[in-house]
Amino acid sequence: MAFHLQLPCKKELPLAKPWNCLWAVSWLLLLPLNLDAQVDSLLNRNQLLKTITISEKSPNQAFNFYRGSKLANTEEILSRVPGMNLIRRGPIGMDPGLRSYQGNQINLTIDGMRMHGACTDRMDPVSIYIEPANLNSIEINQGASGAYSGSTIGGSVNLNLQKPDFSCKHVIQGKYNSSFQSASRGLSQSLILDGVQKKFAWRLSGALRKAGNYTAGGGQEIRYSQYQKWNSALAISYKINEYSLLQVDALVDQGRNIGYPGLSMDVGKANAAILAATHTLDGKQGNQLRTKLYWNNVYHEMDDTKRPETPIHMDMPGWSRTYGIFQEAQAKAGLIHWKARWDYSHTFLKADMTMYPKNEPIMFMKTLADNNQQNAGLFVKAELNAPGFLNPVVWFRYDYNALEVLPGIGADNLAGMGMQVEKPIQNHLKNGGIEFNKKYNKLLLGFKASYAERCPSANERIGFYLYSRADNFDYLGNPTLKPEQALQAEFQVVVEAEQLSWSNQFYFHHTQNALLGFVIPGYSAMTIGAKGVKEWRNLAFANAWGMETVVKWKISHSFSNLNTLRLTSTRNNLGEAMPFTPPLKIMEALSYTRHKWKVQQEFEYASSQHQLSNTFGEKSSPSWFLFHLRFSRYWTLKRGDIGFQFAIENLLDRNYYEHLDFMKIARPGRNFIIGFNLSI
Amino acid sequence: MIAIILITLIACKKDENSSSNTTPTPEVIDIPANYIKLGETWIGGAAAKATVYGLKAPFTGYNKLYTLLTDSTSGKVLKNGHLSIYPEMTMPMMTHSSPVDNQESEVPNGNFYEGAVVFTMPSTAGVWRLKFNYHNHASDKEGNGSMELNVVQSDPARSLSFIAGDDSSKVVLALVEPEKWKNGLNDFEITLHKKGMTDFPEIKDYTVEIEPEMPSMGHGSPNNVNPVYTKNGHYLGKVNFTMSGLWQVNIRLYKNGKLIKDGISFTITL
Repeated sequence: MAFHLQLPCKKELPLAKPWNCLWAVSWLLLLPLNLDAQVDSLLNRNQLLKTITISEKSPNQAFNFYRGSKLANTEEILSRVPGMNLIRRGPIGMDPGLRSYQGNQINLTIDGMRMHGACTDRMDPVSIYIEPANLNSIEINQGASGAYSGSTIGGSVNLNLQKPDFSCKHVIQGKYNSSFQSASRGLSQSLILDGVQKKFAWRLSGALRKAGNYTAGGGQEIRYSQYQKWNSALAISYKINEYSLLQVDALVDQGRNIGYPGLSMDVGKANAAILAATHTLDGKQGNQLRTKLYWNNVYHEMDDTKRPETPIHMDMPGWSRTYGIFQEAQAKAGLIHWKARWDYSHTFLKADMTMYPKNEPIMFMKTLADNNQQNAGLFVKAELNAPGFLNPVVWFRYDYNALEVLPGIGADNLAGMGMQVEKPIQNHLKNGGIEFNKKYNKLLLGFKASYAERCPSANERIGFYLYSRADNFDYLGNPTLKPEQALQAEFQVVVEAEQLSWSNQFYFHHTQNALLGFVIPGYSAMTIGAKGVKEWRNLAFANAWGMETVVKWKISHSFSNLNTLRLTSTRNNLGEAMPFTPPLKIMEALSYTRHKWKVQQEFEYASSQHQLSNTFGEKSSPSWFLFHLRFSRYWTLKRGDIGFQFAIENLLDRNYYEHLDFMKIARPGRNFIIGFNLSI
Repeated sequence: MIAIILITLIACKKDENSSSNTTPTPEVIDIPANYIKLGETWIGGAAAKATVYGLKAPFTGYNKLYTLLTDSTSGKVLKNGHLSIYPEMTMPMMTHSSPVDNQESEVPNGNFYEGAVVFTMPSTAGVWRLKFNYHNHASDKEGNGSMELNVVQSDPARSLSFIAGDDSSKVVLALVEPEKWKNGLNDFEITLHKKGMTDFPEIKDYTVEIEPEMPSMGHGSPNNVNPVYTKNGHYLGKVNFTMSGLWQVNIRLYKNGKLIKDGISFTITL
C-alpha cells in the first residue's frame, strides 16, 4: 500500500497551509474512509495495490492531531505511516524503512530526484534535509511497486517539495509557525512567504530548529541528543502558456552539532543543497510530459570532540554529489493508460577518516573510495481500465547501473584486499509485476505478483572498514555481491461500510541473494573497541511476510476512531530473522471534533521482539505502550487564521525504546508540546 | 707481455681515432631525477670512473646503489664488464665489511650497475668506504677504486643485528624499502645475512612471518603475504597498509619450524 499526502488543488487563493502535509498525518488516520474515493480521484482507478494517495481533503481541517505541533519534522510524519519504520540513531536523522526493508533496499527520493546521504553510517538519510515547511506530500509504495524511480525490493518513499500556486489576484501571503517541546526544551520555527500571480508565483520558506538534550521517561537525561539546523527553500513557478509550466526549486539545509546518542560520534556539520528545474507539458485528457534536470550536493562531517570516551580524535567527512535528468509521460490510448519514465543519474561519493593520535603521525583512511555511480533506467506501465474487468496493470523497469572506483588511495586499499575494482562493476536490473483488482459491492480485492532486483549500495560493495555501532563490527564491502532478487506476492482485502472501513494487506516476499554481514575470522577491526570485521555476503534467501490492518470507525458526527496493526516476520535460510525486523505494533486514536476545536487520545503499543538475527548479534526488546493526548483550536481571521495546539506525548512518562533504536537508547519521556501558527 | 702492450696501444689509438672522429662534446647521460650522487672514484687500472648514486643519503640499512661507469678519457658509458663493490668499515680497533648485493650481469641496467649495501652502523663509529673492482670485458682491463661515504643512523631503524636462537652467530636483518610506501598492498622485502668480518653469507633457510600493526590503534591488517626466500639472502612478501599513519611490522623468524627470533619490528610511516 502506498500513501500520498497532498494539498488540495484549488482555484482560489490557497489559504490551505504549506504545513498541510502535517494535517495529512491526521488524514492517515482517516485514510480507510477515503481510500476508495482517493484512489478513484487521483489515479482514476480503484486499484488498491498501486500508489495510493492520501490527500488532505479538507482545507478547513486546521490542525494536525497526530502531532502536537505543525512543526513535526519529516521523520515524525513518516513514523505515522502504517508499514513504515524508522531506525533511530538519534533524535533526528532517522532512517526510514518499509516493513523489514531499510537503507538502500528502499528508494528514498526527493521530488523524484535521486539523492544520497554523505554519511557512511547513514546518519543522514536524505529525508533529514527536507523540512515540513517545504514538503508538499509523501508518496509511499510498498515492495516492488516502488520501482517507478529505481529498482527496489523494499519500496519507495518520495518526498514532494511544495510548489507555489497561481492565483488571479496578485497577493503576498505570510505564514508563521512555532512550537516548543518540554522534553528537549526544543524550539522550532518556520516562516513562509508566498507571492502569487496569474502566471508567476514564488515561495520562500525558512525553518529553524534547536533543541537541547532530551529527557527520557523517569527523568533520565539523554546526553548527546541536542541538535540545531536551519533550512531554506525557494520555489518558483512560471506558466509559459496554458499547457506549459516551468518550475525551479532551490533548497539549502544546514545542520550543526547534531547529537547521535545511539552512535559513538555526533555530527558537526551537515550541509545539503538541491537545485532542480522542471518543465511540465500538459496535453488533453490528462496526458502529460514532465522533464526534470537536477543537481544536489551533501557535505557531512562527524564530530567526536564532545565525547569524553573518544580514544583518538578523528574527523570523518563524507561527500555526495548527484546530478540527473528524468522525463516522465502519461497518456491514455483507448482503455489503456500508459505511464513511462526514463531517467539517468550520476552520483559521486567519497568518505574518509583522519585520526590524530598523540605524539604520532596522523592516520588517514578512505572509508569509501572515490567512486562514480551511474544509473540509467526505463519504466513502463500499462493499465487496462475496462468496466467489469479485473483492471489488470502490468509494469516493467530496467536499470543499467555502473559503479566505478576512481584511482587513488581508496582504490589502492581495495586492491590491497584483493578486490577487483579496476573495471566498473556493472549490473542489469529487471523489475516487473502484474496486478489485478476487483470490487464486489463493499468488498475490494486486490492481488499483485512481482519480481524485483536491488543493486547493492556503494557501502555494501566498496565500503572499507565502515563501523556499524549496532553490532559493533567494522564492515568490508564486497564487489562481487549479486543483486538481491525478490519474488513478491501481495493480497489486499478492504471492506467499506458506511461507518466502518476495514483494510487488510497481506504480503509474502521471497528474496534470493539477500545481503547479510558475516564475520571474517582473523581480521582485526580498525575501530577501537569493535569486535571484529564483517563482510557483506549474499544469503541463499530471506523471506519476509506480514500484514497491515487499518480499522476506521466513525462512531458519530463528532467521534471517530482509528486502529492500525502491523505484523512483520522474516526468516532466512539460516533459520534466523533478518536484522531490524520490527515487532508487532498497534496504534489507536480516538478523536472528538466540535466546531473549531478537537481533542484526541492516542494509544501506541509494540510487542516484545524475539525474532532476532543472531548472525547480526541482535538482542531482544521488551514490549511497551504509550498514551498521548492532543488538543487544538483555531480561529478564523478576516484574512487567514490563527491556531493553537497543545499535546502531552508519553503521558505516563514511560521509559521505553523501540526495537529498531540503536543501542537501546530511551526515547523522550513525558513531553509537553505547545504550538502556535499564524497565517495572513 | 708484448701482446698486451700492443693491444693497449691499438686500443688507445682506436680511442684517439674515435674521439677525434666524433665531436669532443661529452656524451649526455640521462640520470633519473630521483638519483642522488653519493660520490665518485677513479678505477685506475680499468681506465674508468665510477660515479655512485643512491635514492637518499647513505643511512644504516639497505642502501640501493646505482653505479655509472664511464671511460676515464672519452667519458663514454661502459657497458660490458663486471663490477664488484666491497663495503668496508674501518674502526680504531678493527676493520669489517657488511652485507652487499652485487650485480651479477656484466651489462648494466640502462647506464647503471645496480647493487646494494647494508650499512650496519653509522659513520660516527669509524670510516665507511666502498671499494670497487671493475673488470672491463671489452678492454680486459681491471682495476680498483674506493670512496668514502658518510652513513647516518636511520631513525626509525632500517637494519637490525641480533643473535638468533639457533646458534651464537649474529644475524643482520635489513628492510628493503620501496621508493614510497603506499596505501594497499606493498612489496615487503627483507634481507637476512650471517654476520662475519669480511664475509656476510646469505641465510636462505629461514621461515619469515610478518604481522603489521598500528600501535596507537591496536589493529592489524589482513591479506599480508609472508616473505619467502628469493636469492642473495632476500625474502619477498607483501604487506597491506589499510590506512596511512604509523605502522609497525612485526617479524618472527623460524628455522626448521622452530621460532628463533621474536619481538623485532620495523616502523613504517605513510
